[in-house]
Amino acid sequence: MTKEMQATVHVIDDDESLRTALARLLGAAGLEVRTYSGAGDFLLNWHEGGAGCILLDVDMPGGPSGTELQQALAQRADALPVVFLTGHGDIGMGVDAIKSGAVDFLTKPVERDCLLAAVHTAIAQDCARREAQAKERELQASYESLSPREKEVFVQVAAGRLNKQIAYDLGTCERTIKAHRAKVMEKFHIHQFVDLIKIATRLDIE
Amino acid sequence: MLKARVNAITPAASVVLCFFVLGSSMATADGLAPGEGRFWLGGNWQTIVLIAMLVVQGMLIAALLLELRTRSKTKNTMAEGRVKLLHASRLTVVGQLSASIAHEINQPLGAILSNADAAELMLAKADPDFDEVRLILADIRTDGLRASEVVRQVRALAQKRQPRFIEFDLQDVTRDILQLVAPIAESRGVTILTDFNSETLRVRGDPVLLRQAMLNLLLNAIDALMDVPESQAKIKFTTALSQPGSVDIMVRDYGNGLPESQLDNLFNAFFTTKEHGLGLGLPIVRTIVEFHDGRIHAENHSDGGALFHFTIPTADVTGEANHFSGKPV
Repeated sequence: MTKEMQATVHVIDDDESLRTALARLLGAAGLEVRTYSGAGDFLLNWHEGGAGCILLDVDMPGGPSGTELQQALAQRADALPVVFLTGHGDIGMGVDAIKSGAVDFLTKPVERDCLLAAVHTAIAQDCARREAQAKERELQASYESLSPREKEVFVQVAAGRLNKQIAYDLGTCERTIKAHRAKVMEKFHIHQFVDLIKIATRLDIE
Repeated sequence: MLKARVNAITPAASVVLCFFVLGSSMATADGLAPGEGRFWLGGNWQTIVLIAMLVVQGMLIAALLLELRTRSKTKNTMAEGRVKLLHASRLTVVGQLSASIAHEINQPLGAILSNADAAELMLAKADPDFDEVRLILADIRTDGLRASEVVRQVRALAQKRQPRFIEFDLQDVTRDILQLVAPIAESRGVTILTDFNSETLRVRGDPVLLRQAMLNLLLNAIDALMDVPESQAKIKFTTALSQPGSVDIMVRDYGNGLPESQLDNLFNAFFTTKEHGLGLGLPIVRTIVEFHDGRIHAENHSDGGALFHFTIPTADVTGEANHFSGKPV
């Protein structure tokens, strides 16, 4: 929840009065809000980085529609989760939106509880994604910090080979392998062998 | 109608009067010369011919009266039918516009709801920002008016109403129409270019009917651009005061144009090239234009695309334009 406090809701709607009203409501509910008058405005003024979600109007005359913007954003790894808002949605539109990864598809006029619930779900999703990505990056960094020899040992250990076998293959003694192995564990900040296997799986190392 | 009836009564009354005068004169003759007997027994051929003529004349008058009545009845039925047709087609237009109407109404409603929710949350706080709440209330008011204006416009389009010929600015109506049609055009990737004389165009007519005529033409043009490339999907909507006393309204699309063979049938009822068309759009446009003493024609533009062009007289020229006998449309 503390993480959610820093999250920003990006409200994109071409209708100024609705945009303002939504911003007020979300603001009053304790969320950070930024408003944009259209897809183009968003792409120009959005600074990536912060956690949050997008509250996106489907039908915006002139320029790309909400669905087009979502599809464009979905290509990116750091895509913010999208909650759709529409004035006249039908089932087909809703299904398409959810299939292409939207968190929710709401119709205007939208109830406060529905809106806030959808926005919180979207933010939670974004936070979870960010956490997972941060973890991944951390692991990747740890892996990169291994020496070439340590990497070699790590790969072999993860493949389930014994120290003795590895030592034989690398033409060294078992004690050296044990030392390398300890170093790898230390660099990954883990104490148990099983975590090493998990990390190997996560990093996609066979 | 009243005048016609009085005219019809006069000959009928004169026939009755003739019989009366004739009868009394016979009675007098009877009294003066009892020996000659009653005239119908006497074989006075002149009298018989006179009576026969009067009877024939009377029957003729009765027949004419009957025909006149039947004719005016048919005329009324026809006017009523035309009026119903107009109403039905307006409802069709409302149906076509429903997505745009829903959007236009849901926007302000959504803003009202969210504003009210926001105000509620703000007032629940320990130290509410009353200035902000006042701003919210003002916005709620504006949006309420906005929604009700949309409803008014839709009602004006769908309502059964008495046609009213008033003097008004045609440009107000064209602006209204563009607002209604723009979302549809945009959703189909069609650009509407306008060329309005900046000055006002005072005309005398029924704004609702004229609005419908122009709407029908624009919606047709949008349909006509369904299968053309986006660069070609343009409509030119022009109003102009081309010659004194007459306003030109032109809707031109840059599509594939009309097949020459169809040009003659375009304005016939139930002639359609659309899969789900009723074939009523253009006949209704023509009916409306003719109500306004105007003319309409369709042609293929020399640079491609179809051009629909109609004229209506300006306010100062149009005299009596009351073609309806007060039936609601």
